[in-house]
Amino acid sequence: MTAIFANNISKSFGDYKALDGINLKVKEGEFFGLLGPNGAGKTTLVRILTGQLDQDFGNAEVMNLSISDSIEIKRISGIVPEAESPPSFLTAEEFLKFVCRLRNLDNIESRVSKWLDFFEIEEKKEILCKDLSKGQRQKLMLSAALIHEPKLLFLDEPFINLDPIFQKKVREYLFNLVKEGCTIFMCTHILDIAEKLCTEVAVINKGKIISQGSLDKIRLKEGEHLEDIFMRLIEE
Amino acid sequence: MANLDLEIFILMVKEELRLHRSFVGAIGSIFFPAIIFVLSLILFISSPVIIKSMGLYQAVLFLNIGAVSYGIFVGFLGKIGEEVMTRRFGQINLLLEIPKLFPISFRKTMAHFFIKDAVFYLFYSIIPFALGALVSSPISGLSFSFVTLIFLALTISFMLGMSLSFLFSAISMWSSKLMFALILAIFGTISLRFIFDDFYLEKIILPIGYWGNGGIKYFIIPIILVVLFSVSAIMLMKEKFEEKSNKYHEEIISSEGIFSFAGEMKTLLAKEWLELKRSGGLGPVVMGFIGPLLGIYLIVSLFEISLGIEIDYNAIFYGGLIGFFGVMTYSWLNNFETNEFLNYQPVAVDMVIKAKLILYFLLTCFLSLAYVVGISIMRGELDLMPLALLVALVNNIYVAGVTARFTGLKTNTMLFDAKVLSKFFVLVTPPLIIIVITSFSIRFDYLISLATLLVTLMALLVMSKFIFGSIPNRWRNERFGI
Repeated sequence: MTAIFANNISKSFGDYKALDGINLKVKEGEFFGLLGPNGAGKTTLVRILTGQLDQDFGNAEVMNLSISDSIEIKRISGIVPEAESPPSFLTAEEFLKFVCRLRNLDNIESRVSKWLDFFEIEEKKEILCKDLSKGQRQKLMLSAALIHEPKLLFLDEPFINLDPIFQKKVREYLFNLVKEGCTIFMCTHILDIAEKLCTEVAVINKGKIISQGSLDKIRLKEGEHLEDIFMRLIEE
Repeated sequence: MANLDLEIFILMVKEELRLHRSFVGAIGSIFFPAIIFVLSLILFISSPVIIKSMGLYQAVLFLNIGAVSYGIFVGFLGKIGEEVMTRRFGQINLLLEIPKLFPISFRKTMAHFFIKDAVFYLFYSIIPFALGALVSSPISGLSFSFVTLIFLALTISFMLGMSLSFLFSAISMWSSKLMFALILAIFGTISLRFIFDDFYLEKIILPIGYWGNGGIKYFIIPIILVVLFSVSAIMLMKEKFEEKSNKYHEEIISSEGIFSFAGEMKTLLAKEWLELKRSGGLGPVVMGFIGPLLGIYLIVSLFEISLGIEIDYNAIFYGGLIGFFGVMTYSWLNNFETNEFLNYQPVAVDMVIKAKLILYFLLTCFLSLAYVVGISIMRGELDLMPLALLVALVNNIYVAGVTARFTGLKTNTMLFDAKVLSKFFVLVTPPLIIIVITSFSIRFDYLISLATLLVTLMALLVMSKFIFGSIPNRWRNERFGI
């Protein structure tokens, strides 16, 4: 079954064409990596697919929902944005409880303590989000996206600001989630993480998908690393 | 070094211009000075009538009080600086941050920022105002030298307000208790003006002595005060900011209990309430609402005492003003959090607007009603009190609805948008004028005034229903954030 389907999506900001006829298909249970240089259109595409931004042309569906139904898409999915932005004047614990309440979840206490524990920020739970470090805020954004155990995740540079220990921990957690049937759509610059995790990748440059398929499919020769593939495709 | 100072100043001016343009667009950014010019033109064309009814000295006093208030509004620079230096200024990065990385002191950067703001707002508002006076001169008969002196006085008054507010925000970085003590001291000094007949405080601290037969020398003390306040504020600026990290016990679930009457909105309301409380915004929100209302009552009382006449602003008039000042309060509620994180949760912008409106009514309804009751009692107008309460309530609902419908969660910036401001003006001004006129006429022609007022209030309620109903369609698909 198709989890994400995009057909000829285009988006311009004034004279600047951010996305130019994007076609994409992500199957359920896939770990999909969207790779591209800065300004390639990755975040714009995520914002359109999650109903945060309207496209100029084309149409898309997420879990058989039209992207115009943004509230429902946000209800069934978890989203981690590029910039960590938890609410300044709520504590870490309150933010997660607030998210649980917005999503009408049960077992709030155990869910919240599970994620505070997972990210080892239990002792920071009474600190306002504005006073946390960038890494701690990123951990909160990840917790908020995962707390309702979604079947679909949109992750925009999820490893930014995480130290190597937590990069590894999150990587392993995401890997297991996909094994359990979760679909992950991830934008990243960190190619070795993408290489380790993604079952399918697409490379985007200047608003266009220039290559898509499994790593094996887009390799020119056996043993070619993702970094080499990426550099080759961008230079082409 | 002088070159570097000039370059920083020029870059800050460019930054300010671009910031304004990014909020309201190129047309919107010139709309505000254009409005100031038109309002000034109208005001000065009608100045012969105004001067005849209240006297030149009182009219100039009024203008200068306005300029000081505007300066106070603009001048909370120290707080902005502190927020920038402690990473709390939303997603906007300003040149004020350069002391973090480069060899320049924060004091020096703030001095540039202060001068930049003074120059910017001079061109943005005081000069258009003076131009309005100048253009009106063929009709109003005002001389060039009079307009020049008024321009000079208003510039000094504006700078006085701005530097005072800058000083207070600098002091508040060290001790908020000291700041409140100084505010109380200032209010105490002002109140002496009402007690002692020959204590002409305004002639000393405001540049208006010239019009009170005092001569040009009366400009000197206010200028000295501006320099004193500004230099003190800059000297008091901290160079290092400690990012406090206070601990708070979890309150989101218990706060939901307070708002359980709001049904499914209770979670958002709990969040809004906690943010308001913890950001230190509750005081400014309440004072921003009740302060101007009390201020107007005090100014009118000052006129009545000093001129020995009775100005017939009755309880209905004051009730009508409430909605008008509610715009500022609603705007404050939108200033504490960009809510960027809600883009990733199943919440739409119109739901948060609804929560803000509920909180707004909870905060202002009691204050509005207490204000009208208080004024009715003090003025001995208990007969007008029920009507005044109705006016206050309906006007408050209507203006809040119009503000929310047209500005959403970006009131501060969208009210500078030409289209939005025009619509807002067209919807809010006519009912306000009708309320003001009927508040005067009700003493002479009770039945017709009462009927006009009731029909107006009914129309406002009907329009409010449509306006509130259209908020979801207008805002549902908007994005949270700046």
